[in-house]
Amino acid sequence: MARELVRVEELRKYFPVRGGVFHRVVGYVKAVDGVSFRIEEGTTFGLVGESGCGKTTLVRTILRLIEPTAGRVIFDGVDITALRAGELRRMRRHMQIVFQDPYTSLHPRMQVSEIVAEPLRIHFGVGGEEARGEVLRVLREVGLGEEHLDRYPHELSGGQRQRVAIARALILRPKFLVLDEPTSALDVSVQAKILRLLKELQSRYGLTYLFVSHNILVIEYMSDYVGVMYLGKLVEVAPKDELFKNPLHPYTMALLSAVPIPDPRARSRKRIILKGEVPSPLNPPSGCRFHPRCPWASEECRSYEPELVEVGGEHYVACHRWEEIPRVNTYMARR
Amino acid sequence: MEGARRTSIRGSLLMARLVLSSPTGFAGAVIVAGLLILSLIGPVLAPYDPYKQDMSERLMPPSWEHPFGTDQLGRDILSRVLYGCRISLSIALLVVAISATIGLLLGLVSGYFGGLVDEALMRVTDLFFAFPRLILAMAVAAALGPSIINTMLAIATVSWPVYARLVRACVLQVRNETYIEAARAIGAGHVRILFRHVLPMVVHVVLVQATLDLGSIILLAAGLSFIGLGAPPPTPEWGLMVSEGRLYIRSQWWVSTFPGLAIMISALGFNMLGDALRDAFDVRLGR
Repeated sequence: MARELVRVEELRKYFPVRGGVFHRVVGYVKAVDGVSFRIEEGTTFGLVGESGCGKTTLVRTILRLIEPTAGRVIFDGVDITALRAGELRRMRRHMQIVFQDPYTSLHPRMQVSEIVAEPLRIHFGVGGEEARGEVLRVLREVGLGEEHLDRYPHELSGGQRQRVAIARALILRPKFLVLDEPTSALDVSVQAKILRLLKELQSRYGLTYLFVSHNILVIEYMSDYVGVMYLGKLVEVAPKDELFKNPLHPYTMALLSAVPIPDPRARSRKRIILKGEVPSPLNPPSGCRFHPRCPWASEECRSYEPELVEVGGEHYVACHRWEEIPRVNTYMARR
Repeated sequence: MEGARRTSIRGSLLMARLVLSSPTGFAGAVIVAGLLILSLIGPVLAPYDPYKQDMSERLMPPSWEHPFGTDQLGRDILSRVLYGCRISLSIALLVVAISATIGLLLGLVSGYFGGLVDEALMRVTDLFFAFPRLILAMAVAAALGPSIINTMLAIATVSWPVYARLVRACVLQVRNETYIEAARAIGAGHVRILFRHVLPMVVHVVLVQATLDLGSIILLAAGLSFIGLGAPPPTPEWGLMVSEGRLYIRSQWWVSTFPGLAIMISALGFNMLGDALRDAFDVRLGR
C-alpha cells in the first residue's frame, strides 16, 4: 500500500453573491461543495468534468490559492488549511501548479531565466549567476535550452511557454504537482509532447500529480485514479481501469459515451445524450444534483442527496440507483 | 544579464522611434529637450545678471541690446526668462517626483489589498478631487507662506491623488492576472508581488501621467506666483514676472508677454510629449 500524500476532506468553497441596493449577500455559488478524496504518493489522480463544474476552483482551493470555506487538506501529514501565511509560503515549495493558459501564467515583462529562477530566489535566496546552472538544468529537463534563457514569453510558442511554466514548477523539486488543464490551450500535436514529458518527469522523480482535464482521453492516458466531478461534487471515484471498464454513475456513462470513436461502424452504438444544460451552481437542484438530466431519476433522487459510498475495490459512487440502472459502456468497445 | 540589457535597449529605441514619428511627439521632444538644455546652461547664455537693476534703462522695448526688453526695475527680461527656466523646471520635476512616488505607493497598496485600506484611501482622494486643484494649492500655499519650497509642497500635496487613482485602477486589472496567482503559488510574499510583478505593469501609466503633469505643474506654480503665493520677488520666476508686468500690459507689453510665452511653450511641450508617449505605449502594448 503506497503512502498517502494528499488527503482532501469535505472541502467546500462558497462564493457569496451580492446584489440589490445595499450590496447584501443574496446567495452563494457553491463551486466546491463537500469534496473528499486522497492521492497516493507517486500516482496521478485525474479529475474530469464539464467546464464550470468547479474543477479549477477545487484545485486552487486545495493549494490554498483560494481560501476554502470549510474542510481540510492534509498534505504530507500537515493540515495546510490551518497554516499561517508565512508557514504556507514555505510549504509551497513542496506543492506546485501548472496553469491552463501559458499565455497568461508567465509574467510578460520577465525573461525565462528570471521566471524559472524566481522560486529559488524566494526559497533559498539565490539568484543571478548562482542560479543559472540550476535554471539551465531544469530547462534542459523540460526540453528547452540555453538559447531560451534571455527570451521573453511573447517570443516563445505556446508549447515552449508551457515548458517554461513546468520548469518553474519543478525547479524546487516539489513532491506534488497540480496540473490544471495544462494542455487544453495547446495544439493537438504539442499536447501529446507535453503529456509525454509530464509522464517522463513523473517516473524520473516519483512526482505525485493532480491532473485536471475536461478531456476524457487525456485523463485516461495520464491517470492512475479518476474522480468525476459534477456541479461541485465528486460523483464517482475509482482506479482508472475500473472506471473505464465499469462506470457506475449515469453521468460517468454519459461522459464516456460522448467520446467520439473513429470508426463508422460504431455509429449505431448506444449513447446517452444528456438533456438540458448544467444547472446553475447558485441554485443547485434538490436531492441528487444530476437528477434533472438523469434518464433514470426517481422520486428518491429528487429529494435525497446520495453520499459517495464505496461499492468495492476502491470504487466509490454517489448514486441511489447504481445497482438497478442498466450498465451502458460503449467506451471500451473501441479497443 | 547581457540579454536583458539588449532587450531593454531595443525596447527604448522602439519607444523613441514611435514618439518621434508623430509630429506632436517630435515637437514636444524638441521643446522639452530645449528646456532641459536651457535650464542647464541658461545662466551661461544670459547676457545680464537677472537681479541687476538699472533705473535708467527701465521698461525699454525689445532691442538688440535687450532682445526681450527690460522690466520696471530695468532688469533684462531675456536673462530673467533664461534663469527662470531652471526654477520652473526644477519645481516641476521635484513635485512630480514626490507626488508620483507617493501616489504610486498608495495606489499599489490600495488596489492590491483592497478592503478597508482601499476604502479609506479612496475617500481621501475623493476629498482632494472635490476641490479645484489651484484653489486647494492656494490654501496650502497661503498656510505655509510664500517661498519656492512651500510652493512645491503645496503643489505636491494636491497632485498625488491623481497618481493614486490611476495606479489603483491599473492594479485592480493586474492583480487578477494568472501570473500574479502564479507568483503566489511559488510562495512569493506581498512585497515581492507588489514590486516585482505588479509594479512593472503599471509604471508606464505613471510615466505618461507624470509627463503630462509636468506641464500643468509649471502652470500651477506660475499661477501661485502670479497671485503672490509662490516664489517671492525678486526671484526670476515666470509667473511672478507675468504678474509684475500686468500693470504695464497696455503700454509695455513685453514685460508680461515673454515670460508668459515661456510658460505656454513649456506647458505645451510637456503635453505634446506626454500625449505621444501615451500613444506609443498603446501601440507597444498592442492596444
